[in-house]
Amino acid sequence: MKPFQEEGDSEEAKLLSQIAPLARSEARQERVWLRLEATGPARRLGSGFRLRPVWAALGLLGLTAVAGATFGRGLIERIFPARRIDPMPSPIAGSHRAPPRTGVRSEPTPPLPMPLPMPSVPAIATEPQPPRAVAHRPRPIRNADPAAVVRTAPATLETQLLLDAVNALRRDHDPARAHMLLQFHRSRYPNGALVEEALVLAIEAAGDAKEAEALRQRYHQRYPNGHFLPVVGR
Amino acid sequence: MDQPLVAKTAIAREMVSFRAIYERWFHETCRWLRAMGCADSELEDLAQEVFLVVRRRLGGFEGASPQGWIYRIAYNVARAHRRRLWFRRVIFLGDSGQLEAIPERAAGPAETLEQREAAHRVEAVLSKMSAKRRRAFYLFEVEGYSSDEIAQLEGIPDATARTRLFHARKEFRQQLKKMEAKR
Repeated sequence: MKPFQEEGDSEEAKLLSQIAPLARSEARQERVWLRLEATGPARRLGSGFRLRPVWAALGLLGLTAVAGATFGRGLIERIFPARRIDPMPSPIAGSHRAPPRTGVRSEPTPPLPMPLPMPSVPAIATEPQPPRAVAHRPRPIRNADPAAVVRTAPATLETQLLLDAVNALRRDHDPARAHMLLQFHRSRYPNGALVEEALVLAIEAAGDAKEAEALRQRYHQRYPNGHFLPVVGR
Repeated sequence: MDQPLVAKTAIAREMVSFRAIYERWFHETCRWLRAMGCADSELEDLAQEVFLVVRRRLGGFEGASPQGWIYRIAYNVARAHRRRLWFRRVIFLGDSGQLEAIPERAAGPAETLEQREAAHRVEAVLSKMSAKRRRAFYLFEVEGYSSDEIAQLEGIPDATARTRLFHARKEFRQQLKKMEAKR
């Protein structure tokens, strides 16, 4: 077998004739020798174990993946506790039905699209909900100190506080607890993003008609064009 | 003879031996590295890497001929280098870090340009070949090795080396025709 260049005047021969074999270079040889000498005497590692960088990198990657799969989810849940909120039945209109919300919201939060019934409507429209496959159902915090709630999830606290009040009022039929939560909300968030909603809930949680009327008057004064006028009544 | 003196003598003997090996095989190693696809601008670094390994393992070498042994080390060094380049290319999106090799025989700008163009075309064709065929082809066609020598270097039977060369030359011709048709 002969190389292309010896075979004839082909295209391959012409092309390969332009590629020169590597010329011997004493200067290159000397340079590399000096560099080798500069690296010090021969290390006698024998057949000892040497960890290749690629295996080290792959091992590190694998460890990270395992650690992430093991601890990552728990850590994320601890940092951003996902709360599943029961949808509240609306006794006044289907269009006011709030969708179930999960996840985390950062403050300031927009007004809650939660159902806000008229104060005079009894809170008995709650239908028994079919059991749902909820992986992380929020633990009810009844009888819990509201101040303790503050420490759990600052980002969703105001929202969660009001939703707990709604649940206490509508699901647990416990207006006293709802009242307490709303009072706490008033003291903790006097200028919160959900003050209007809290006031509407307070109207519903009011113990008697007189108190409810006073609160309604206050609502009209503070929010003459409020979102919940249809609910509160003009 | 006390122990330190024995050790010193052994090291001195090894150093002499290493220098002899270096003198004998340095240029060949550079040619092999080039055939393995390493750029001319990187030959010095890679040859240094090869001979660092040679020096480190010389004490344990018991083979008859160092040629195949050094060739295998050069092969491993070139492969690791290619892998590093690949990672760099992936991470830095196309920057392979290679400098363009300047042909050593260049007489003037026209010839330089011509040689560079030819080198690019040959490289484009060789890059489509498998590493085995590429090595055999380059050693045979450019560096002037015979098929026997290639077989010895690669540690394969002579017939295998010839078959590999045959297919490599055939593939080179086909790829070159394809490339010419596209131009």
